[in-house]
Amino acid sequence: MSSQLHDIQSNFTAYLRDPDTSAHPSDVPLARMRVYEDLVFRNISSLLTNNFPVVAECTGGDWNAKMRRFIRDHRAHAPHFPQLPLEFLAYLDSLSQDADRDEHAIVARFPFIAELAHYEWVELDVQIAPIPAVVTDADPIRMDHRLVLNPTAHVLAYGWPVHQIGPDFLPLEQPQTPTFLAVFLSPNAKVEFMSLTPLAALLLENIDKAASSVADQIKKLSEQFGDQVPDDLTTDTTNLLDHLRSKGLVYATTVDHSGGEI
Amino acid sequence: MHGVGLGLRRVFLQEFRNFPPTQTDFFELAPENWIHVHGKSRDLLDEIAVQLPMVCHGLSLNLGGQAPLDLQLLNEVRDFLNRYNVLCYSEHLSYSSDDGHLYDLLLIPFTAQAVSHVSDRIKRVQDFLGQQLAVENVSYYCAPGQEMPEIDFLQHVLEAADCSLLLDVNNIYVNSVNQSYSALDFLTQIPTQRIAYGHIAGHRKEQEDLLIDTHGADVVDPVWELLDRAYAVHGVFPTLLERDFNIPALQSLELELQQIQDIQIRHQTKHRKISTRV
Repeated sequence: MSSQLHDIQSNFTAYLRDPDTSAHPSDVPLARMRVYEDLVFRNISSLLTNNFPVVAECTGGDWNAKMRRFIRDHRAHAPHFPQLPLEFLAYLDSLSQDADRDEHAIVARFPFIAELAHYEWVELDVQIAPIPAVVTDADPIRMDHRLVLNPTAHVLAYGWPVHQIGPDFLPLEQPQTPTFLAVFLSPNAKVEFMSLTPLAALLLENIDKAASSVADQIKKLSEQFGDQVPDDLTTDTTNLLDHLRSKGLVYATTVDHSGGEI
Repeated sequence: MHGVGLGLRRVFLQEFRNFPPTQTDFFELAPENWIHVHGKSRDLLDEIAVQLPMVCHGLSLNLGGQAPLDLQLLNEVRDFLNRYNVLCYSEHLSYSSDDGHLYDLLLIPFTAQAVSHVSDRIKRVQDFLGQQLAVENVSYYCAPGQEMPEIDFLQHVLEAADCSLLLDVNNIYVNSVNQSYSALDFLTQIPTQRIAYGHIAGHRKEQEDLLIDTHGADVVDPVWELLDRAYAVHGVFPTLLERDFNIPALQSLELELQQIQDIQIRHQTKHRKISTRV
C-alpha cells in the first residue's frame, strides 16, 4: 500500500486535518490548499452546528476550536451523514480519557457538554426513527394489560438538567438529584419530550428491559422499593400508566406482540 | 431517463411532494442522506418516488481513496437502488477519506498509478452491484502530484473502468477558470457515448481566477452557454439542477429548470430539422 499515490493523498489530508503543524504539498499554491481546508472545515462545522445547535450556542467562541479538534483528532467511520452526530458523541467520549489542556479548559467551563450533546443527538435519532404503529388498547388500564415501551423511546437519566441548559443557563455545579427525561416519536410522527418523576423513570426502565403485565410491573416496583413501598403504589402506577399511554410513550395491549408467552 | 431533473433537498421535501415542478422528469438524492432515515421525511420520499423516477448520487464511496471499499455501504446502496427502482447510480471521481471520513470531495491525483487504482475500484463496485456506475468530474482548486492533464485522466478512467460519466457542466466551467484552460476544448474531448446524464449548478466567485463550487447561487450565463455547447457537441442528455445552499422557493428553481428544458427543446428541434434534411 505504500506508494507514491498513497503519499500524495496522505500529505494532502494531513494538511486538511491539521494545517497548523502539517506541511502543505509543496507543488501547489498554499492559497489553494487553504480553499480545501476551508471547505472541509465549513462543511463539517455547519453540519455539526445544525445537529447540535444548543451546544454550539452555549460554547460560543469555543465551538469553532472544538470543530477544528474534531477534524484533527477524530477518525469517523460512518459513511452516512445522519450518523455524523454519533461520530461527534464518540469524539466527546474519547476526550475524557486523554484530553489536552485546552480541552480540559472547555470541559471545565461547560462540564455538562457531553450530556447536553447526547440529549441533542437523541432528538435527531428519534426524528429519523420508523414511525411507531399504534398497538395500544384504549380501555382503562387493567392488571392483565401487557405493557410495551414505544419502540422509538429513549428513557434518559442525566446528572445535568440538559433540557433547561441554554446560553442563559450554564450551570457549573451538578445538582443533587438526577434529571429523568423521555424522548420519543408519537404515532403521528411528532418528536415528544417528557420530564419524568423517579417513579416513572424506574417503571419505564423496567418495561424497556422486559415487557410484562401491569401486575408484574407493580410487583417488580414493590420489590425494588423494598421496605419503602409507598402506600398507594398500585394507584400511583395505574394513574401514571394511564398518563404515559395517553401520550403514546407506553402501549398497553391485550395481545402478545412479542410472540412469546405472557 | 430523459429530460430535466432536480436534486431533492430536505427543505423543500413537503413542497416537492405536493407540487412537483412540471418541468421535472426525474429527481436525485444522495443515498448516504437517506438510507438510515425513516419517520415523516421517509414517508414523503416514498410518496415522491411513486410519482417520479429516482437517480442516486453517492457521496461516501471514496472511489479514489486508499481505505478498503466499504462493502457494507455498497450492500445498503444496492438494497436502496432495488427498493426504489433507481435509474442510475453515480459517484464522484474523488476520494473522501484517509483513515476516516472527511465528508468532502478531494481531488484524486492525476497520475497513471491513480488511473489504475481508481478504475480497479470502480470495476469492483460495478461487479458488486451488477450495473454500470456513472462517475462525476469534480471541481478542484489544486492538483498535487499532477502528471497528466485532467481530460486525459478522465478519459483513461472511463476507458479502463468501462464506466459511464455524469458530466457536471458547472464543474468544467469552474475548473477552466481555476486552472486556466479552455472549457470548450475540454467539453469537446468528452467521449459522447459515455455520458449518462449531466449536472448544472451555481458557484461563488471568490476572485477573478478562483470560483468555488458551492451550489449556492443561480446558474451563471457562461455555464448556460456551456450547456448549450454541450448539447451541440454531444446531443441532448438528461440534465439535473443542483442547489444545496441559499435555496430559494421552489418556484424560483422552476425558472432554471425551465431554462434547461428550453435549451433541450431548441437542440432537439434543430436535430430534427437536420435529420429531415438528410
